[in-house]
Amino acid sequence: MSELAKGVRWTTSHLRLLLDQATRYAGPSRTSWKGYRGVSSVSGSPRMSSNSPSDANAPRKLSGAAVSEFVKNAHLNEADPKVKVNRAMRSYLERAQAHNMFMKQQQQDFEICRRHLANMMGEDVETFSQEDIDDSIRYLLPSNLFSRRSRPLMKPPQEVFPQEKEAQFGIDGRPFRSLFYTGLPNYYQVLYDAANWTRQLDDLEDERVRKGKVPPEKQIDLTGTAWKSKDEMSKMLLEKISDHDYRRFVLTMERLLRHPYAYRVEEFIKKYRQVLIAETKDLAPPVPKKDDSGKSYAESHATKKSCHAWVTLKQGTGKYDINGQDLLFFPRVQDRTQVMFPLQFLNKLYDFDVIARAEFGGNSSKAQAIREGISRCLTAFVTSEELELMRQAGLLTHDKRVKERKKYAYTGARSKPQWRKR
Amino acid sequence: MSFPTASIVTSRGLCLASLICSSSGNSLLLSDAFCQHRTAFIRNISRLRTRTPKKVYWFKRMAPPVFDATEIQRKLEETPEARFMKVGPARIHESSSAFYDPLLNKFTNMIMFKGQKELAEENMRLAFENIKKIQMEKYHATTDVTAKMRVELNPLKIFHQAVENCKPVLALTPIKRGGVTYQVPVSVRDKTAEWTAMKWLILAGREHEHQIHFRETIAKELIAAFQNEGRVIKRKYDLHKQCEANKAYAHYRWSR
Repeated sequence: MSELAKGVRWTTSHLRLLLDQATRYAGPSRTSWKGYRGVSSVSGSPRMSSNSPSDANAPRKLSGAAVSEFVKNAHLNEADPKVKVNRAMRSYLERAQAHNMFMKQQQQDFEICRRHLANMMGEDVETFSQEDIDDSIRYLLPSNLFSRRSRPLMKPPQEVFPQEKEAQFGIDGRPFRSLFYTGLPNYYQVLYDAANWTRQLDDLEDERVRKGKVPPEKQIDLTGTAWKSKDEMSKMLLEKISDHDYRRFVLTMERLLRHPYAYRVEEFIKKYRQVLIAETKDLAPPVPKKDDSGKSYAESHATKKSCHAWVTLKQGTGKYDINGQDLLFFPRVQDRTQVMFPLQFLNKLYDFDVIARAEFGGNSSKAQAIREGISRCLTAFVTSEELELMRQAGLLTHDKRVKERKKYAYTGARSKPQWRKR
Repeated sequence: MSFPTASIVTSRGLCLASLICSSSGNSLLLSDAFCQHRTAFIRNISRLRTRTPKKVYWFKRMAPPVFDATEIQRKLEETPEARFMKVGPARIHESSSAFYDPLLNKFTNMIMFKGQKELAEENMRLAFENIKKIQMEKYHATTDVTAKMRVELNPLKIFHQAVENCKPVLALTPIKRGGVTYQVPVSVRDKTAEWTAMKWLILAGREHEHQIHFRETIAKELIAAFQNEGRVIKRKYDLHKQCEANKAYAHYRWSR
């Protein structure tokens, strides 16, 4: 490396050394280098099949594929002692080697740390999994930092350090495809493919119209899926795409999706969709318990602004106990309505007793905190369909708004004292 | 996923504005001459311009809550995606109660001073009581059975109908053309018309001598508006007359 940096003549033996080092640590490549060359032919005369044109253009990582190709070429040029290598390629190889060395070192460190941690925790070294690591880090280095990303972590280096792209150009320094010059070749390839498909489907539609045919009533079933998020797209394409780029991607894909013959490119469209999880899946209903008299009850804690409410919902006859009083604890009708809201919504007003303790905050906050507590308790006793109804009525969403703090020199959070320039 | 629809930028628009949306999303300011040359190229590379979404309160990004179980079921059947969308929290004044009325809540907020909502609510409650009294008197005063049936006794229905009757169809907006400001008639959106109707009702209710309470005057105004009579209805007709008189200026809305 150092020799190369100094500008020593580039010889086959040097290359061999470099390439050996670079290939040894690189993982198996996803596609061959020739995949790139296939692009021009595919995009030039696209076929109407379910195989999308970008199959050959799956994003590539920094791997041994390019390097191994280069080895082959180097072998062919054995007769010539001085191989002509482009400066860009040379720096790429150096980078690849440095990256692989770095990753190898990190991997070794991680493995040592993992074993050390297992020993510290008195666990079996061989079966100490990532989950165990996370648990022990949480135990040994407890952190209350607000941002979860700021808390200490120990992950395999593959997850921590971003993957890098494979070389986009050959030994002579010429890129394999013109999109290289866009700066985001993989992203623009997706856009190009989508636009290409739209055009082809338009042609198809014209042809069908000429023949007097109507498009079939087929539609792609996309329920429960959404376009991949910006971050996911970035990860998938190995390119950092901006908000603007992402919006353009969505617009282009939506246009393709609206086409009456879009079902023909279902595979292409579904590649960029992610499966959504129903919102009610994330809710963790409290487990109902039994009291001495055999009545089941559930407990929960809820907040609103600075108010805290501890609520017990017990099978009963519709009695309320709020801080030792009944519903008349609240002088305002609105607050009483709020407390009764979840049970009234599901017609269960006379099926449960409510025992609530609400502290701090005003009456409105108390009412809302109790409402949230009752709703959460109620999730333990309802069916999944009723749960969805409650969610749609906004009973299971926590209102996280709080009072904005006053700023110094201001009269409030934002308002300023009256002031006139002389 | 909801994103703003794209507006297609024409070559003419680009030339006039000298604004080009480059492929990377950065706007470049170019001279007109350069624009002329590049127009065709630009049209090809960037037909779609996207608008950045507005920053809104966090709960406005979620679906609004619905409080009627049958309506929710219909919504879930019509749009299965609703199951995967976040729903905003029910606000403090909202509930599935039979007494919850969004329009009445809006009206109460409009008559409120200094955040004294309890007082405003009390005023509305007493106003409704007055309406009920007046209508009951009317009911007992009529002897004819069919006329008796026609007397509306529900104050909430009277309130809704009164607001509906007071909604203006057109409004005047000042538009400056050639140094002269013209009052140009424009069509009003439903929400704005509703607001205007309520504002007029409240202003009419506040126009009274001392010793008479707001709750009494507003009751009378609501009943009058319910019967398509009274000051507010007259105000609406006056506005419509003014709009009719100014209809020669209507083209100023879109022309210079």
